[in-house]
Amino acid sequence: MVKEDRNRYIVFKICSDNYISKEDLTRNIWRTLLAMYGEYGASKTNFWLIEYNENTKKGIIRCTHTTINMIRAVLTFITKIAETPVIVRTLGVSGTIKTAKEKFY
Amino acid sequence: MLKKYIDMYVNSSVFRPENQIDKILHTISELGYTAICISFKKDFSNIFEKIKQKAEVLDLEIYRRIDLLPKNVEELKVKLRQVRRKFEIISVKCIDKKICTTAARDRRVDVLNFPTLEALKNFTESTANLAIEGETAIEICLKLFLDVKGIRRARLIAESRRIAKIALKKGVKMVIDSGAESIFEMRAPQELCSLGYLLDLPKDDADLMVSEIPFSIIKTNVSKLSTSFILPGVEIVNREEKNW
Repeated sequence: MVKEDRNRYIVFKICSDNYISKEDLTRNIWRTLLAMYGEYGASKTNFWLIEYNENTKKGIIRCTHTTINMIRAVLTFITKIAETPVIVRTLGVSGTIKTAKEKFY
Repeated sequence: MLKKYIDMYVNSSVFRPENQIDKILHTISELGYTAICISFKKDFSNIFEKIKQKAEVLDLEIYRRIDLLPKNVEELKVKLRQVRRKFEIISVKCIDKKICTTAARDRRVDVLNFPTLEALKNFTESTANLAIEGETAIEICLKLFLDVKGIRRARLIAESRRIAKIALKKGVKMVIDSGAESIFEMRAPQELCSLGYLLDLPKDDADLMVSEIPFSIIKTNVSKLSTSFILPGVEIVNREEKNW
């Protein structure tokens, strides 16, 4: 039987001139997610920052397959992290962490 | 074949300082664009050629765009006469209902831009009908959403959703672009598509709004700018030499 909520893993990259820490990034994504969809909406996304490499500025986000576009919109609306202007760019979406890493990370 | 994407509204201020042009063009190309339209405010010939030359190396197409901000209908008509056949894209900022109506039915106008929340209210079903007649497209800019927060952003999304619904229902062409004034206000094409999600647009339609629709507008206008163009569908193919 097919699971109702299948996880998806979004690989992203941050384009910025400055260093971005994992804490600042997590706090910023959560803040934007809550501002856009509220606590109820955010709970439905099953959002979690799985991994973030502070050197390459690449990371992996988990969400459900029905909320990929919601999370993409959240990433679009992030303009600054710790007062540093940034572009958060999605590199790809995958069904497993393994493939996400192999293909896009 | 890879899909071609275009950001139809990038302000010339993105390319400042001038010594950063290479880096900025590289970032734009990395984001996944194959073309951009640059909006110029003042004299542009020098910087435009410079950008175009450097963009050729990255296989990035560059087009000129002008944004008209007329105070009244008369001024709009005068300005349209002045800029006609000089730019690939002519956009009008619809700050007033009358300007919006006139611009919508004018064939010289390519895009209707709504720079504020209040301006979005000028687009109604009757304007949509005129836009179909005048083959004018409407534009949703990401910058508008990035500049505001909270209640104002919520109202902006709601109002944009309303005009997107009308445009889809009536069949008015719609484009999504960044309207960026700095490189950090630009987003990848897929991210611009995600704006369509917030406006309840079908995913495929949102994708067309950053790819095929803007390219079709530009293709038509580029052919109009060529010296051999006479009428849509009629152009000079070859000139016969006079030998009598």
